[in-house]
Amino acid sequence: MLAALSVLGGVLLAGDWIVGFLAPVVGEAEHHEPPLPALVITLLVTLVVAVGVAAAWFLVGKRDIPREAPHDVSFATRAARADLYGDAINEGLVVGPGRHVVSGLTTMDRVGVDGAVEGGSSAVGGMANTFRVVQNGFVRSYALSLLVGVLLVLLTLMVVNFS
Amino acid sequence: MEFVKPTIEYAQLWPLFVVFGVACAGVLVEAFLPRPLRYVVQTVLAFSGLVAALVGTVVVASRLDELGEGEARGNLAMEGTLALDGPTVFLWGVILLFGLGGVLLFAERHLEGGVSAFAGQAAALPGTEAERQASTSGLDHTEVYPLMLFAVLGMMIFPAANDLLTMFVALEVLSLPLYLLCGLARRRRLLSQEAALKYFLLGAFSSGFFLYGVALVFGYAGSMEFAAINEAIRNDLGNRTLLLVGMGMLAVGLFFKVGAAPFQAWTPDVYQGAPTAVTAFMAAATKVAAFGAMLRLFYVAFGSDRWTWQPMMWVIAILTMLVGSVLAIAQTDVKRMLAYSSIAHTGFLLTGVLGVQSSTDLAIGQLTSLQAVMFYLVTYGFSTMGAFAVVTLVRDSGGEQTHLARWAGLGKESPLVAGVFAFFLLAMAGIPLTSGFIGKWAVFASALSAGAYPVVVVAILSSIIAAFFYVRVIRLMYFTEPGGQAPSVTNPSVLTAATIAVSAAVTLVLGVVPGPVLDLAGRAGEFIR
Amino acid sequence: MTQLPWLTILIVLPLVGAVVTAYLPSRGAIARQVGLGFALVTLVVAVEMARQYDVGGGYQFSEQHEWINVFGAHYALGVDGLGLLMVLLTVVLVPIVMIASWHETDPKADVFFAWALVLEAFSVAVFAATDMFLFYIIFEATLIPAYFLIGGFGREGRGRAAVKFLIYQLAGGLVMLGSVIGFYVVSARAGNPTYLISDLAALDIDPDTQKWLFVGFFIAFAIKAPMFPVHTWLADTTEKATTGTSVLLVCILDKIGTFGMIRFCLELLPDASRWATPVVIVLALISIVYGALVAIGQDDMLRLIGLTSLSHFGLIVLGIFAFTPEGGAGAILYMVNHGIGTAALFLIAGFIVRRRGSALISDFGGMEKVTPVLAGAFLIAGLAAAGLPGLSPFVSEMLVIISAFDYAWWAGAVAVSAIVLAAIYILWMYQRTMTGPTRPEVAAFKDLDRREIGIVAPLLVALVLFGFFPQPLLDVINPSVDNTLMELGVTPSDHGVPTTTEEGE
Repeated sequence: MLAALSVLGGVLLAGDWIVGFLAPVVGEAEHHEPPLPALVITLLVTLVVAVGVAAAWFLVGKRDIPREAPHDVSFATRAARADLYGDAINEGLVVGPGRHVVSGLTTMDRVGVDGAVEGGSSAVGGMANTFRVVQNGFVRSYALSLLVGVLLVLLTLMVVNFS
Repeated sequence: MEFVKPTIEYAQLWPLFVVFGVACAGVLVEAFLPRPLRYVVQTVLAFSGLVAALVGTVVVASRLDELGEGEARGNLAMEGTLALDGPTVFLWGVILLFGLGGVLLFAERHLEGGVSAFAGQAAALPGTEAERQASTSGLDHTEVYPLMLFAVLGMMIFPAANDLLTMFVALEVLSLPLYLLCGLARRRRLLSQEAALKYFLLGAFSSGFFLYGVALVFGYAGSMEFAAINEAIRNDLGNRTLLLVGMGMLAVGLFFKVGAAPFQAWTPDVYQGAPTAVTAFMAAATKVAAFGAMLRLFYVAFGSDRWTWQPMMWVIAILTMLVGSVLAIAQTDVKRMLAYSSIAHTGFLLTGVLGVQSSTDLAIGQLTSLQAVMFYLVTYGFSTMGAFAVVTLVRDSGGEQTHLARWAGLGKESPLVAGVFAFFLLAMAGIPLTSGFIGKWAVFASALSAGAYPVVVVAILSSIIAAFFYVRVIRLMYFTEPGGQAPSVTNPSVLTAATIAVSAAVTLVLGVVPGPVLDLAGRAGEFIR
Repeated sequence: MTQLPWLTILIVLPLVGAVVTAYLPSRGAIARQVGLGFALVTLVVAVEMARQYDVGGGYQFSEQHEWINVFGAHYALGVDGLGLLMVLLTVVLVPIVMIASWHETDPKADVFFAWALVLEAFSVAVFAATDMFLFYIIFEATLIPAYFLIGGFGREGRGRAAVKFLIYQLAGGLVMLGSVIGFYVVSARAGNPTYLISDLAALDIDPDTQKWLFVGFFIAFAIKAPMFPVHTWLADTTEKATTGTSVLLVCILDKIGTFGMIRFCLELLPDASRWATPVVIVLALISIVYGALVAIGQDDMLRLIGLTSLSHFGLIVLGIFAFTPEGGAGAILYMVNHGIGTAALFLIAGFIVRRRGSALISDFGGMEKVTPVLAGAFLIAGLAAAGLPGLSPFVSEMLVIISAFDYAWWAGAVAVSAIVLAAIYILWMYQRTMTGPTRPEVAAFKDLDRREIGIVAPLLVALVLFGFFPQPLLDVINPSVDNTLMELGVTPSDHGVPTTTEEGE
């Protein structure tokens, strides 16, 4: 699998195709020269790696490895075992509060935003049920509403004209 | 004293006379023909009479004189009491079409197993032996046809009336038969008779206001004719209070007829109690006639005093739309729900009425409010008539089942009926691709053009509220399982089926290509004085 | 030169197909094949039309007939780069959705396929409309097939979700109606009532009126897109409807919202767009973060994917209202990429849900051992949604974020957090469903069969292909973006990122 992808990577790099494939979209970026030549940086990095490997071999690799991992170890070792507490920091700073934010927003979405919409339609329904009792079936009430309407019409006509 | 014979333009008014003649002939048929023959003779007579009148209307319309540069057509007739102009003949055509639909629906006998939807013997008290005998012996009231024709006559004169007394006479001629027709249901007779009595009492009450308004305006202007009233207002000589109170009273009479709030209380009860065929006819045709009359009254008689009545119209329109759409949500009966939706539509129509502007304010070819209202009346009438006609189909052995719970699952039981009803509901909601949308658009455009922004905002709001209860019925039909009893649909004869089909076709066609009818309404031009 | 009315054909063909599919006499035995056939023919026609498209040529395949004289409404169609891409997205996704829903809609498959074809026809029409009245009519008309698709197929509670969807969208549409009529009044006052977009663009509308018109349009498009705070219909709908319907809704219909923002808000109401930009950008940023955070908290897979769209559309709107060429191009490219990527996610999630019978993430675990191909596809689609470089959404996301930084540093900073949050919701969902110990309920699952691979593969290939070769798409997009921005007074620069030697933000 890796071999196949490496070949693919090589193909993409050959001819600088992958360097320029986004060029039509974003334009050509200027290629900066690094402060030191690239080869020097590569050599420096390789040197540091070699030193690190040697140090590890002499400090740790040559000693006998106990059957069980010792419990009483230095702080550095404990930190290393806990991935430099990276996970714990993440969990405490980001994931935990993140979870709260997410659940809070989900609830707000359901109750608040959606609630406003559903509440609006329930309010209209409630208004409908409240006002329909005016239609009580008695002609006398209907005639009364007609009279009220007459007054309303006359009032609006008068107000417009005498204001 | 010399008596001058009045000139009556028979050549132009003969459609009216045809309708009147057929109505009288219908009465004679009732008196003299033996019972078995009456049904066929009456239906054929009524149908052919209306068709003849429709043909006559088209002929008269094509022969109307053009005034100005096509801004108006026609002339005053019958000594100035009738105005035979473009809008009149357009509305005559629409009313006659709805009359034809009404005849077809009245004549339907398949749904009740061989008898019509009207009571066998209206005079028999409900629950007595006489009623049982009447219904088992297959009696039928065929007087409904001449009654309907008299109502159609009144509806035709109402928007044509050019003077206040004629308008009042027309109002009564159209109302009285309708009061009777509402009480003649075969099923649930007590509810029907209650509806008729309510309609009569409240109608008489509002007609009283109307007549009082006529008297007051006559007192102000010294004449009944609209043109003279308009003159008097422009000269502003009389007592202004007299004019305002008179104007208000006249408005009240008309608002009652169209079912505007706060005069709408009769609408749900009457629409629910009346035989559904009568409701279908009434809901469509009465509104057309009454709005035609309202337009003529306010645009011609009170036209130069727009700024007086427009604010009043704003208030009534807003109130009507809100009342109609909000209260419809609480309804559990289909006919009542459609009645409240009808009230909401009245509100939308009033929004169009108040969008009046003088022709100088409008661009060439821009929609006028008259055009918009007339078009909306056409679209509203067809979709309402079609919807009520579909309501007659959902029934079982106990009669029509109008409770919404019995409509659940109709989509599976009878996809065609549910589909057509859903289509009519979408049209009433104003979904595009239906005629209802174009109508709403036209009406809102004329209101916005006139600067009535608050009214349009409320109209949009109530459209949103109304969409809810229309969609609720659609959801009920398609996505809800039947609760207790399943819905049942009875197959109608070709009469009702034809009415529903034509209404649906018109609703679809006017939604996709409304151009011709809109142009026709535009060509009708303005009111003449 | 007589030209075939390509766009009308693309609209009429699916409509005819819908009628045929719905009313086939044999009670729907071959309904699915017939429906799919019509969709594929439409695809072929669209591809043929696209081959004839001239990249720098403005609106093409135009048709114009007078419709309603009095309103000034015309039956006018035409596509520029943006419209063409949206049309292509539609005609490609519909057959894929049909194949994906082959077994899911079994008893009423003819109804589903018929409504899907109607939706396809209306979607093409809405993207191709160059007359505002026609656009509005189709905009509302698309709600009808969508309503029946949501309410008729899916899980318990879909009726209610469908009503919520419909009322929400109708409300937005009715608010927009006010603005549409407003345009009529404005054009009538200017002398000649008209609804052609080209004529309306030439009108000089005073800034106050522009603001009201803008508000009406923006509310409707914000509900459509959706954006915070009018987004609550989205999660309910994607949760209850079938995944095929969700793809049609989220990947095609929702694009109408952002399409409309570009076509109507920016092109016709430039001053009002500038005035509203601060508020819009803030809402977009809130949508981005809010959508992602709420998505993280979901247990239902389909709700989660639906809510990620809230976040994505926030980014699209951000790109649109940043008023730079990169932003516009990025936004439109994002629309296409989101369509492909989210479609893949929804469809794969649909396969997963069908196997288990539940969409809750807590009901799954360790599927990658049992169904490796499914898991792999899910991962790729998920990483695309998260914006992994090499997959196409990365390009568009990057363009949008760059333009966000152009607007203000804090806008860019918030937008960048979207990448992190996206990675969280995707990878966490993947981890919970695919990795870990295999649950006993999952152990018997079959991997993707030929039909399912056949749908997913083209989508994933497209994601990778456009990830490495976005140029063809950008060539189509850039002229149309330039056109739009000209209205706003933004001069098109050389489509490139300012190089590091430039002094800038």
